[in-house]
Amino acid sequence: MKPIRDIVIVGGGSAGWITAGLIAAQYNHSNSEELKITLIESPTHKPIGVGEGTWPTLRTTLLKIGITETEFFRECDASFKQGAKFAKWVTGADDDYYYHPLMLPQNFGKVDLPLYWNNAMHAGDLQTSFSDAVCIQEAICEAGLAPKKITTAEYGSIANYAYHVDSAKLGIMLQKHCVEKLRVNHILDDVTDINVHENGDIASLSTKTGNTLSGDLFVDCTGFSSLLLGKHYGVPFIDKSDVLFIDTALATHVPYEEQNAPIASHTISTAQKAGWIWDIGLPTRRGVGYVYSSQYTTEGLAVAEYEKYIGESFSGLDVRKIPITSGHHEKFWVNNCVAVGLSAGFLEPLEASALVLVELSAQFIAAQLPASRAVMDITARRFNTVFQYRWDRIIDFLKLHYILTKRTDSDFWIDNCRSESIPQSLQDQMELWKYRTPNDSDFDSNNEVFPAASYQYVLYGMGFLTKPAFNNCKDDAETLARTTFSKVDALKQKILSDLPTNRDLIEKIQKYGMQRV
Amino acid sequence: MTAIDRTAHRHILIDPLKVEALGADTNMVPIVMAEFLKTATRFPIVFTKNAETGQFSVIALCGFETGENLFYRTGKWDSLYIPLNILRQPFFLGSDNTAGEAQPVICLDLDSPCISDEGKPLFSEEGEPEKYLKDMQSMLASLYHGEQTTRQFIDTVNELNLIQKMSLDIKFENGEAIKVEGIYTIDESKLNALPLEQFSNLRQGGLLFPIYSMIQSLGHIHWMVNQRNIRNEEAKAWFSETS
Repeated sequence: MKPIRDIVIVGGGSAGWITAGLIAAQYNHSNSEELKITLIESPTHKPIGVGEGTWPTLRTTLLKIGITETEFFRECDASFKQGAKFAKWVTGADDDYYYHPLMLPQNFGKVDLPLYWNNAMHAGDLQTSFSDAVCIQEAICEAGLAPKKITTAEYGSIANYAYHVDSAKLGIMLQKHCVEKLRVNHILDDVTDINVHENGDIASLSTKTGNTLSGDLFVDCTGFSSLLLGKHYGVPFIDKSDVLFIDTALATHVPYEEQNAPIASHTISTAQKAGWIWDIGLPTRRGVGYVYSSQYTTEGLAVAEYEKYIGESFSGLDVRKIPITSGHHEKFWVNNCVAVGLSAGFLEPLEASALVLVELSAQFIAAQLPASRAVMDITARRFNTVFQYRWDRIIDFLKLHYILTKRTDSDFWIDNCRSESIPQSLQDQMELWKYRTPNDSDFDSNNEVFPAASYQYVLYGMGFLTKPAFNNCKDDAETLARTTFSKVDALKQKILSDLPTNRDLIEKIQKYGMQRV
Repeated sequence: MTAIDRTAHRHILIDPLKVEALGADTNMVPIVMAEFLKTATRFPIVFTKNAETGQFSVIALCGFETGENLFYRTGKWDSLYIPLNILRQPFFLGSDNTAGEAQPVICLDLDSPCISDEGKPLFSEEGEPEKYLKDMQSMLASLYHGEQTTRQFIDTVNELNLIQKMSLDIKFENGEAIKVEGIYTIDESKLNALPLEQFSNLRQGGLLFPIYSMIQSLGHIHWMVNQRNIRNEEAKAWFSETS
C-alpha cells in the first residue's frame, strides 16, 4: 500500500506551525527527502493572538524544533512563567490566594507533606500556605524574580518555568524557521473545496487560485472553524458547558504604566462574580481577559467588573468580545484527517491547556506517524483514546478549581459546587481524597496531563482537608516533614538573594542573549 | 579615574611585590590570547561567564573557590609567569573623549596599596618615563589589542558549539568534597567531529593553538588538587597539639 509521504497542514496559527515544526524536525533531515510537509493558510485570516500561557513542555518543543531560547525571547515578546496565582477563588477576600507552581513539593513522594502541613498549621508551628510551605516558587513569584540567571544556559533553569508569549508572534517565528530551516512548503491560499476518495478519505484540497493540493494525511489546524473535522466530516461537538460554565471572553492589551514596571513571572487569575480574569505579563504589555458565563451575569455587569480590575486605563483600550463553547469533538482523528488545536476543542485558559494539547498532539503524530494508509486506522483509534482521556482529565482538573470555593456571592459559584455539574470521575476522586492525599497511583496512565502534585496544590491551596483513615506513617515521617519545611525555608532565603528580577533578566536576554551551555 | 600625568605623578613609586600580592586571593584572572603560551605551562585556561552579561571570557584558573589562589604562596606567586591583568596594576586603560572621539589613555588607581614609599619610579627626575612605566604601557597595549582577538576566538568557538560545561567534583584527602561550577572548556569530541572545512578555517585563523593549549592546560588541575591537599596538611600541622 502507498506509504505516507505527503502531509498537508491546514491553518497557520501557532497550532499549525508547532505541528509542522515538530513533524519536520523529526523527519526532514538534511539527507532525507522522504516526507513532504505543506502548510496552507488563508492570506486574509488573522490568528487570534492573545497573550498566552504555556507549560514547561514548550522548552523541549522549541529545542526539538531547533529554535534557540534567545531567538524565542527576542522575537515572541516572551516572558517567564512560574505557575499560576489564583486570587479570590476561595472566599473572595483581598488576601485570598494560592499558588499552583511549576515545581513539585520538596521531597514529593517521600513524605506526605499535606498531612503534616495541616497539623503544623493547627498546632501554630507554621503560618505559611501549603504552596509556600512545600515549595520555593511562590516566594520567587511574589518577589517578582526570574527563574534563572543570565549565566544559566539556554533552556536550563534554577526554578522550573514555562513562558508567557504572544502566540501570533510565536506563529510567525516558527513559520520562518519551518520554511527556511526545515523545508516546510508554505502556501498562502484559501481552501475552497475538499475532494474525497471513495472511502471518505480526503484526496485533495481545491484552492481559490485554482490549485489542487493532494496529500496522504491532512492536519486540521483551522481554529474554531474546524474546517475539516467539524465542517467536512461533521464530527459532533461534545458541549461541556454543563461542567465548565464559561461562554464568553473579553480580551484586551493593557500597556504598562511605566516602561520599567515589574513583569509578573506567573499568571494571575482573579475570580470574579461570574468567572475569572486572566492577567498575563509580557515584556511590552499585559494581556488581560475576563472569561465569564453569560448565564450568570450581563455584559454590562461583566464589563463593569473588567473595568474595575484594569483601572483608569480601561477607557482607551480596544476590547474584543469572543463567544466560546467549552468542549471538544467526539473524535479527533477520522479517516486521514486529524485535528490539532482549537479545531479539536476549546476549554477556558485556566491552566494554559491549549498550547500543551497542541504540543502533545503534534508529538503523537510525529512519534506514531503511520507508515501507510493501511495502518492509519489503528493509529487514529489510539489517538482518539489517548486524547479523549486527556480532555477528560483536563476538564476534571479545571472543574476542581471551582468546586472547593466558599464563595456564595453569585449563583455562578453556588451552581459550580452542585454535584450534577461535577464529572463522576472527579466526584470519585474527591471521595477518596477525604481519607488520603492525591498520589501518583491516582494518575497511573502514560497519558496523564496534570500530576498528583498539581491536585495537591489546588486541593490544599483551597483549604481541602484530608483526614487519613490509617495512621500508617513511619515514625520518622514527622521528622522528615519538619526537616523538609525548614529546607524549603533555607532554600528560599538563598535563592531570593541570588535571582534577578523578571524584567531585569528579560532585558539582559534581549541585549546579550543566553549561552547554549 | 586619573590619567597619568608626568607632573602630578612624578614622584610616585610602585612596589612590584605589592602588585603581585593583589592577586593573592583571586581565583580567576582574565587573560588574552597572546598570553596562552606562557599561561598554559602553569595554569588551567578555561572559559567562565560574566555574571552581568552571561558572555564568555577566558581566564587562568588559580583556585577552586572565590578567594582561593593556589598559585600564591608565602608572599609570592609560585609561577614563573604571572598574568598581565595582575602585573599591570594599579594601571588601567580609560578612555578620553575630550577630542571628540574616544582615545585610550593610561590611568592610575591612586588608592592602590601598591603605591608605596619605596619601589619603582614612574618618571625620571627629568620627567621622562622610566622603564617600569614603559613596560606597563606595553602591557596595557597588549591587553587592549588582545581583547579583540580573544573576543573573536571566543565567538568563533562558541558559534561552532565547541564550548562545554565542566563538572568538577573534587574530593580532597581530608574528606572535604567540593563541586566547582561555572567553568567551561573546549569539547574535544565536537572539535574532532567538525566538518573538514570548518576545522581548516580554525587552522587558517590560527585558532588551533589556543584551542589545544586550553585542552592541554587542564592537566594543571591535578597539581591544584595536590596543592590544596598539601595546604590542608599544613593547616593541620599548624593547629596540632603535642600530646
